[in-house]
Amino acid sequence: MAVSGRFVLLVALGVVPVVLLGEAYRQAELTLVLWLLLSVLIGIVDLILAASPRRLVIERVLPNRVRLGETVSSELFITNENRRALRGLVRDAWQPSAGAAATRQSVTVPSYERRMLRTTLTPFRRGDRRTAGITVRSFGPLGLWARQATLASPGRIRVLPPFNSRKHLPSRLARLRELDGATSVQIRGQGTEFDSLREYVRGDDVRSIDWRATARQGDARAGHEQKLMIRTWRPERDRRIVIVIDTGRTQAARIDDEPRIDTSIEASLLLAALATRAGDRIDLIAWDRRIRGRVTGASGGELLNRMVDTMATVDPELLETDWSSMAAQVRAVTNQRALVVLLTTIDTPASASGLLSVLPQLAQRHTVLVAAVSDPEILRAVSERGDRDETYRAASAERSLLDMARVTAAITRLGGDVVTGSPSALPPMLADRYLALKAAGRL
Amino acid sequence: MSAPPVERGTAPRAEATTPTLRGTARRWRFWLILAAVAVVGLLVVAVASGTGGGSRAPYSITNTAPEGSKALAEVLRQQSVDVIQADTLDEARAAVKAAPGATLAFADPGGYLSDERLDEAAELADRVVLFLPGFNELRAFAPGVSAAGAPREIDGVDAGCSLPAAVRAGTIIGGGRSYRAAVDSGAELCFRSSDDAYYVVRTETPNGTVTVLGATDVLSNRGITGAGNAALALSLLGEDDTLVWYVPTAYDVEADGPADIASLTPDWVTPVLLLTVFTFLAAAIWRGRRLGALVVENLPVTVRSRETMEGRARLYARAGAHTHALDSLRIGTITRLSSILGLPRNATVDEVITSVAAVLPARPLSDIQSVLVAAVPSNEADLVSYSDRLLELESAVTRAVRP
Repeated sequence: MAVSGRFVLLVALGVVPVVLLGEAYRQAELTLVLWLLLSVLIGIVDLILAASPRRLVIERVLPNRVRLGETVSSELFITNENRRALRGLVRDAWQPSAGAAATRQSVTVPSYERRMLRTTLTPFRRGDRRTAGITVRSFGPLGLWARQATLASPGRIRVLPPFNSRKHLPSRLARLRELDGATSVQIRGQGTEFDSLREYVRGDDVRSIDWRATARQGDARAGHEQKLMIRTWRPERDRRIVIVIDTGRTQAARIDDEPRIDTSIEASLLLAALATRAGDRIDLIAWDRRIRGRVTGASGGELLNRMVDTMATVDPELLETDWSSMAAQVRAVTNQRALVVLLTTIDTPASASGLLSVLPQLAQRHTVLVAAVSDPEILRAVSERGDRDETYRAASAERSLLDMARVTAAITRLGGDVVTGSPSALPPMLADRYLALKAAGRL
Repeated sequence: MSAPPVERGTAPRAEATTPTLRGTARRWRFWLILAAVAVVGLLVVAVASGTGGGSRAPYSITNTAPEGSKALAEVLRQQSVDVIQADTLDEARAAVKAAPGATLAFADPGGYLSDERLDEAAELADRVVLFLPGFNELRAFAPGVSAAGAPREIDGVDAGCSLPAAVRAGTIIGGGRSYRAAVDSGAELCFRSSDDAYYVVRTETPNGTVTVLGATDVLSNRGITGAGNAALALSLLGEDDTLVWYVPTAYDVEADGPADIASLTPDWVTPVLLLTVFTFLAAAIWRGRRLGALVVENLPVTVRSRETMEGRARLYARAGAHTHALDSLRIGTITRLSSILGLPRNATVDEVITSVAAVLPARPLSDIQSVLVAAVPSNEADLVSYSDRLLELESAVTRAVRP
């Protein structure tokens, strides 16, 4: 049950009869009591005449997924199964970060008819955003008292990572095609595989002439001019890439108003989009002390779909990542030589000790690439030395940079490769490093 | 916006999570029943203990408590004595006027009556029975009688006088107050408690006969059944057909002083104030009723990435570690200088200094050495100035190498 502002006004209006009758007949107390009784009586009658908020059929039409930053509309169909019209207020209980434009709307549904309520949602946080149900407040014909009930009508919308770094994809794909073209006549070697045989043209490397094929070609066309055949090579395909996203406590830190894990997701998406076009096979593991998400055996568009779906609901856990068991997880994914990309944090030698201890056994089998988000604030702080406090801060920032340099050096010494960059720079930098590795045939 | 009408009952109705009134009542049934039983029990106990209605004042003929006098009044009524209760002087006067020759039973334990009013009360009736009078009542009603203190509880005392009522009673028990009268007043003195103190004194005054009764238990519901108590009470009070039982109340107190605010304000002010309270109540319900429960959402933890750096900077500042801080700044500068100068990563500090000196021939070597390694800052001002010189050196080298 609920009352409206109108009812409050009705009660307040009692001041007129109380004063008038009080002056005229000295019956102020009696008038007050009678007015209150009358108000409540009218309210009760209004309540009885209100449509039941329980006799409703609720249907929800909701898109399944939305990219973070985009707007979708949620449609709610309300069918009134009362013999009276429903006049009321409807609240759709979306979680705050679902970004509903208006959570309460007034609606009038005639008896046995259906009306639609549309709510636009602009979620501002990744993950599953839910609504438990709707609350209906049904007013009587006078709009004084209302019946109220909460109806279960669960709804869920999955907010996917935005993949803002896809703007870098076309330029990297162009580079990949260049790489393909440029290497089609490359000398054989690591990272290339046989592509085709074609006729020699001036400028080709003479060392790539396939004499056996030349001889066979000459046999078939006896009497004709002898043609030299050369073999062409192309970059290797079907390499394996294992992306490991660290979801431990260090990934919760916000840099440039973006948690590290979001940057890691962006970088992994760009890398996956690029690598799957290049014909490589990508597996993804989100790991802290257990597997938080895993995508294996997908390729093409499905790969990206499954990756964003898996990573949408992963938030950093406030615990230390268990690197020692991580190697076993990589081994479970593939036995072949692979490019293992670790998206984590390079902070201090102490906090990186777990990572450093596992690197040798990973680097023995695989090519290891450590990608970490660096904080542009630290670089800014180094050169700001106006007063005493800023100088101390600069000294502290220098110490942080030194720590990071030491960890980077240690990783390099243990056979890994390091990419660091600010949140906006890391995804393209990782993609570039992948292209460089591919061009060098180190995959 | 409107969709076509749907057929009845095609889709299932939404399940309501708000409990119905009936459901709530069922859930709270145990407690509701318990509350009802408790209320009924309390009512029964209240009725049984006789506290339902009636006065709580002593000597009141509606008081059923042990100190009251309802039993006496009821017995008098059964003896066809018309017992009239008067709460104010005006009521008492009206009652006496209606039945001339009535006996007036008077007690003022609360001391509500002023001296003038006591005098007026004394003139009301010819026959007056005073219950445990104090100084003021004695002065107005029976000037010849004075109080003689409160004796110890008595087991039984004989009349010892010729007053018919006392003789009929024989013996009374209980406690109360005793009185004495001047020897030559001709007063009748009964039920002696000590030397010249008595429980009952009858004296003739200009206003009529006044009987002073000092034994409490003669009147009270508790003590009236003891010995000859009832006989004494009935004889004293039942002499006439009508008994006016006047125990003053707060209404007898005369109002004085300036008129109070209530008599100056119009009648409707209090109701309007009450109406305001009810309006606020309604408004509170209007604004306070939530449209459904609050929505719960788990938010991720927010960690600022600069925290470690800021914390370490504050630690340096609090410990005054200027040498340590300057060393950090120097290591950073030397690392950057060596990369600017194209030296290998494992180049020593001396090699860096030599290279810097080669790039900047205008500067003395000792100066560069002092800035990069040797000088020890003695205070924070030194730290700031050396830090500025490090920056200056770095930019000078950068300009020299990449013009």
